[in-house]
Amino acid sequence: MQRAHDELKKDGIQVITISIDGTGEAAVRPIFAKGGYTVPALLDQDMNVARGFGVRGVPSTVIVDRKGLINARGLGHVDFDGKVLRNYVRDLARAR
Amino acid sequence: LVPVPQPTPMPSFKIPGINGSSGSDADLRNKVTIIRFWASW
Repeated sequence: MQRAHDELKKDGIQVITISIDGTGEAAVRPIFAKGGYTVPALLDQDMNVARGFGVRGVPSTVIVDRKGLINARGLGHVDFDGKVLRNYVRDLARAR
Repeated sequence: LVPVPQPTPMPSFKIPGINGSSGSDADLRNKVTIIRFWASW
């Protein structure tokens, strides 16, 4: 995830995380500090944002295009270093 | 990862982040964004 964040930035693709932990920052900050993660970490304690995105479980991945449209989604493990995901988002980034 | 047959607009949102940061749907405009929803438990 962090690697995808670092490597896709140059292609105009951003990676963000949204935690649905009820305890918010207290749960998330130690994990990011320990791992040295710099990927943005947002807090959705009441899960309103997750619900708005149609998330039905975690971990979940949602891909949003330049126009703000939800283009793809996945529940469970997603290989952020895999060619399928990388090619998919790069194609989206190239689309005008 | 499953492509959505009919892409739908993302919801409007503005939420806090760690270390005093924050994020909103406006930050996602004009960029392709991978959002990872997760929990520590």
